Amino acid sequence: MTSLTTRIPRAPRRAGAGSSRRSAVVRGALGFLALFAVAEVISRSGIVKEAFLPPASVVLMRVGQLLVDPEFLGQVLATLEAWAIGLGICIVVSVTIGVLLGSSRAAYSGSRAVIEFLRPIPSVALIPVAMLVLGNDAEMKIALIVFSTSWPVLFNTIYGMHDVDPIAKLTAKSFGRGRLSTLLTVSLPSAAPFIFTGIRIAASVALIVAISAELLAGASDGLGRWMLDAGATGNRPDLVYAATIIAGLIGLAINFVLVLVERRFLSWQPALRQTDKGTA
Amino acid sequence: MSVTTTGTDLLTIEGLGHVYEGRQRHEAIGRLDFTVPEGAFVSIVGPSGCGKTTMLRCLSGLMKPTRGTVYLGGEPVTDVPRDLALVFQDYSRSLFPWRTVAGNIGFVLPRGLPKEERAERIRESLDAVGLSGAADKYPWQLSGGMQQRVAIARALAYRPKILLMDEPFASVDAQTRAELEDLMLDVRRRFDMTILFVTHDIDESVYLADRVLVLSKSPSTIVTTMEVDLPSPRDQVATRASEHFVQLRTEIAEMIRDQSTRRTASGAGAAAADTAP
Ligand SMILES: Nc1ncnc2c1ncn2[C@@H]1O[C@H](COP(=O)(O)OP(=O)(O)O)[C@@H](O)[C@H]1O
Ligand SMILES: [Mg+2]
Repeated sequence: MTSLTTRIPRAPRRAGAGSSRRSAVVRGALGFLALFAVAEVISRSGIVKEAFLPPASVVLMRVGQLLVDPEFLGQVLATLEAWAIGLGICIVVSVTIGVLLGSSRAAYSGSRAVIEFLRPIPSVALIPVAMLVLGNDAEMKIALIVFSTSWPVLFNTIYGMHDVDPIAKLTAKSFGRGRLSTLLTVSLPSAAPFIFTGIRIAASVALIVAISAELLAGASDGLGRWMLDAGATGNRPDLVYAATIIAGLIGLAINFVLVLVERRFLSWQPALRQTDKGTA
Repeated sequence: MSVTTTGTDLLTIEGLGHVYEGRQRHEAIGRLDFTVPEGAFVSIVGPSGCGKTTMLRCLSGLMKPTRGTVYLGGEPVTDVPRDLALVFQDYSRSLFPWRTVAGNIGFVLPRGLPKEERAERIRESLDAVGLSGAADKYPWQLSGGMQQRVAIARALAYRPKILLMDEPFASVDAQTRAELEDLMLDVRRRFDMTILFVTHDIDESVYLADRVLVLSKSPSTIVTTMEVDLPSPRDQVATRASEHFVQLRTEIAEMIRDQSTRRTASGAGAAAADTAP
C-alpha cells in the first residue's frame, strides 16, 4: 500500500495470449503442488514438530470440513458482515468527502493538514481507543474498518476528481448542464476508475483489519476470535492453519469479484480497453 | 449560393474584447464587431494564439468577456444560451470515453424525451454524419475523423440554431479533412444551419464560407471581411482550382502578411508578446 493513488498497471492483452495464460495456470498449479509436498514432507519427517506444522494433507482435510461446518461458517459470516458494513460506510463517507474536497481547490488545501496528520496512524494502534469507546463488539470492528479503509478511497477520489478533463466539464456546460449535473454525469464517471481502485485496496484492508481486531481485541465473535480459540485455548494448530487458508481464500474471492465488476462496468478506462486502434 | 440570408442577424458581436488577468496579463482580443446572418456560413481565419478559442468561449457563454456584448437572436448572452452548440477543437477530450457513441449523443437530448424519440434522434444525427453503424461503439474505438463526426452529430442532435466550430479539422489528415469539409456543407444544406467556423487555414475558410473574417494577431481585431461569391455546390477539386478561389485566397494571404509585417515594424515588444502559443 505504498502508493494509494496509482492505478494498478495491467499487462496489455494481446491476441494469442490464451496459450501463454494456460501455461501460466499450469505452472501456478505446479507451484502449489510443490509447496504442499514440501510442507507435507517437513511435517511427516519430524523436522518441525507436528504441533507447529501439521501435515499439509491434514490441514487440507480440515479446510474441507470447516467449509461445511455451520458453527464455523457463522463466525466467518460475522466477520464478513462487519467487513461489508464497514466498507459500505467507508465508501459512502469517503467518496462524498472526496468529491467535495476534489471539486474545490480551497477545501482541499484547507483539509490537507488534518488528513496528513490522521493518515499515518496505524489502525491497529487505535484498537485500545476503539475498545475504550465502543467495547469489543461489532461496532468497534466496524469503526476500525471505516477509519483504516477511508484513506485509499478518499485519496483516490480526490485524485480522480482532480484528473477530470476540464474540456469534458466545459462540454457539459456548453450543452446546458449545471454544476450538480456536471458533477454527477461527468466528474463522477470520469473519476470512477480511480475510486474503484481505492475501493479494491479498501476491500482487502478491511478484511485484514476485521480479523486483526477480532484477534487482538478478543472480539465476541468472528473468524479472528474463532482462530484465537482454536489456537490458544483449543491447541489445534491444524484448525488454525485451515482457518488461515480460508481467510486467504476469502480475500482472493473478494478480489476476484471486484475485478469482474471492474471489467463489466469500467472497461472503458485506458488500462482495460480492448482495442487495437489508437485514439489519435 | 452566396449569403442566403433572410436579412436578420442571428448573432451580433459588439465591441468584444478580452483580457486574461493574472501574473501575465494578456490581452487576447482587442476589439471585435461583426454579425452572423441567419442561414449564413461565416468563417473566421486567424493565426494560432490570436484568441479564436477565447472568442468562441465568450460567444457561447462559457466565459464572460472583459468588454462588449454578444447578442443571439436579439438577446444579450449572459449565460450558456440554448440555441447554440459548440464543437470543440479537441474532440477526443470533448467526447466522454465512458459513454458509447449513442450515449454521447443522448447526453444532449432533453431528459424527459420518450425512449423511441430519443433513439430516433440519435439515429437521425448519426445518419447525417454518415456513422449509422457506430452507435454502440465507444469513441476511443473510432478514428480521429470519425470521432469528430460524432462530436458534430452530438451538436446536431442538440438542435441549435447556430453551430460554432473551433478549428474542428485541425488534427486530421488531408483526405479526412476534405471529407469533413464537404460533410459540413451537406449538414448546412440539410439542416438550414447557421455556422460560424473558426480555422487557421485560409483555403479551408474560403472553400466553406459565404463570408470570411480575417483576424489579426493578438490582441485581435478584424483585418478584413471578404464576401465569398463562389458558386455552389462547391467541389474539392473544381472549386479550389477556380481562378476566383485562387484570387480570394491570395488576397487574404497578402492581407495577413502585410498586416503582420506592419505590426512587426511598428513595435517589436508587442510582436514578441504575440507569439505566445
Ligand atoms: N486561461 C488563460 N489565461 C491566460 N492566457 C490565456 C488563457 N487562455 C488562453 N490564453 C492566451 O490567450 C491567447 C489566445 O488564446 P486562444 O484563444 O486559445 O487562441 P487561438 O484559439 O486563436 O489559438 C493565447 O496567447 C493564449 O496563450
Ligand atoms: Mg484555439
